[in-house]
Amino acid sequence: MYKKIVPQIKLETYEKEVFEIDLDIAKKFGKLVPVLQELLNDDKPLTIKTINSGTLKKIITWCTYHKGRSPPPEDDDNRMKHSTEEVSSWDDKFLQEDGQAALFDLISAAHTLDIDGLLDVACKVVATMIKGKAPEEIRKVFNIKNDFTQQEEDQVRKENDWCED
Amino acid sequence: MEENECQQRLFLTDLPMEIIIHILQFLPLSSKYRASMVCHSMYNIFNDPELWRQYEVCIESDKDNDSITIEEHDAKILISKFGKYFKILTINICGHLIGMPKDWHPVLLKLSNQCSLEKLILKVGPYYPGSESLRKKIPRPPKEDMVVLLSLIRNAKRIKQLDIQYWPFLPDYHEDQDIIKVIVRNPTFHRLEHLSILWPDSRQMLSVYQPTLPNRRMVLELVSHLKNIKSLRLRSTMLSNDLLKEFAHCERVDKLQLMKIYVTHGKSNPQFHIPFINPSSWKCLTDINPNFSVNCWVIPRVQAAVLSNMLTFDCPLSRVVFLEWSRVTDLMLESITSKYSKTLKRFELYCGLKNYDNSLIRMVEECTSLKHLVIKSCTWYGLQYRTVIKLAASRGSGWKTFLIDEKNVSIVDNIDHAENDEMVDHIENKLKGIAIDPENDDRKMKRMELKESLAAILGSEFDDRRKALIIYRNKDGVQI
Repeated sequence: MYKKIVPQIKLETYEKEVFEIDLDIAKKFGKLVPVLQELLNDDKPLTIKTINSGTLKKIITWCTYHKGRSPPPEDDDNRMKHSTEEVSSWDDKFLQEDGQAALFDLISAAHTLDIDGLLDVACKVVATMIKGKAPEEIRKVFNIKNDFTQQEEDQVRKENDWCED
Repeated sequence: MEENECQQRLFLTDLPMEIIIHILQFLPLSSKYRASMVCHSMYNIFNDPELWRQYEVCIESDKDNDSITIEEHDAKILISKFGKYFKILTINICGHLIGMPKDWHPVLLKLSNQCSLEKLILKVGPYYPGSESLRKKIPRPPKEDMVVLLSLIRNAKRIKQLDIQYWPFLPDYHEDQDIIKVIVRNPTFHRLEHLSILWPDSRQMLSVYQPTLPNRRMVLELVSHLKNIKSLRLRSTMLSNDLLKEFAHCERVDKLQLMKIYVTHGKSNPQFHIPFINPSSWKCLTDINPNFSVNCWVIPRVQAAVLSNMLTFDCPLSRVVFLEWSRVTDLMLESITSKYSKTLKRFELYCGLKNYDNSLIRMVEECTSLKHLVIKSCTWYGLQYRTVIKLAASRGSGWKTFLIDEKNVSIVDNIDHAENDEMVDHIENKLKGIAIDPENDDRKMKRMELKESLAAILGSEFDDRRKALIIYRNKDGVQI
């Protein structure tokens, strides 16, 4: 069967592990697009210290799964950026299966590499974790310490209580 | 979700502020508020201008004044508190403009003085039916409402983008109620770069009901004031030779880059006649702006000859889209090929068409800049198997988009799927969401063969946006 040699680029993670990434996938990394040609010709890997191996693996899996999956936009300038369409069950499971810390790593990496689709869907997953919860519940879910004094808390409540449904 | 005891990472401290804002933008107001009470940094994010950059005001106009919803009550407080941060604002008023509740007036007036909008989207009133008799029955929106809404335009200082999706363009308005006159009187609109007049916001939103359109004279009056327009979206009936001449004015060298024309046509209503455009009018414009191009979306069943009145020779047509309800003939494809072989870059077909293989092949062969091809018809009329191969091979890896829906390909030569029982099976399976292929093994083999040949011809570098793949079935798509 016909098999074409796929051009690859090399990335080195925080753990100094080198990954070979297909050009198709690397094209999704907005930040790398301007330097892709250089990276293709270069044998030395590009080091990205802020991303760990586990996260990069996840990103590659996500991009591979979504390759060719979504139909091209019908009209680029009509793209709704903040559409609240549902997160697919595959994405939901994939993004949450390694726990919160890994999800935040992934968000941060998607932001660094500028992977639009991944950043949006991961942020939506976090948003669903916040939605409908009381402040105390949110603190518990995200392990956040309440740094308001009682007085401040009352003040904040008073200031914005019109938002309550 | 399992909570990890030794988890050191904190939601707030680890993620940059812009990401947290991005997350909060997916949440309703009440959830944003509750998040703001979690800790100091969340509270600061809640009060950050960036979180309130984009906002949509929704007002239901045709209802009793007594039944004001909690959402509207909250929206008013939100606007008074954060309105000064709005940069991108959508005004969405549904109902037939019987009048918005009066207590909205001071809110909107104050907002118009506070915010410095960059982009304004107006969805005021639904589409008005185009027919004269129906239009008479619809009351005019109260003039106080119009004055208040237009204060957003009157007081605007830096709007770069104006998108009028619906607006009551009724004739004989008093000056302070006429959107065009108000724009013309605001000198800062000189800076406007993108203007869209009654362009539907999605392909799905089209209906047979036509809005009342501003006439050609009104559009010309508006555009003459806007000397820095870079892109313009309008309906075909608003187009005129005079308008093109205005854009070809020497002050506008290298300004207008793109004109998107939405072709609407109604034989019985003179308001929807397709205009006659002289080839020389297009020519003058391209002389001034060598990069100027025209995109055309066609919805109605319009005859080739009528469309040719507007799409004359010398129009730099770079993209043409035939929408679901339009009707294309092979004659029309040939006319496009012969006129626009130098400029055409994208061709998209969403309507049904029979036996057009040869015209399409000729189009691809002669239009050498054509790099995007989409055939995604809702009918079962198909291209022949060998046509698809031929089309793919004509550019090979040079295609930027090559997308032909699987159901628009006839695997077996000369069989009309539309008359076939198999179609029913296909549809039923799709409804159930199960992709069971009712085909026999022979056809399956042929389909596989087609995909393999196409993969080889197009090269393996598929990217769903830039260098799209070929065929896809239902939502998930079949990938090569």
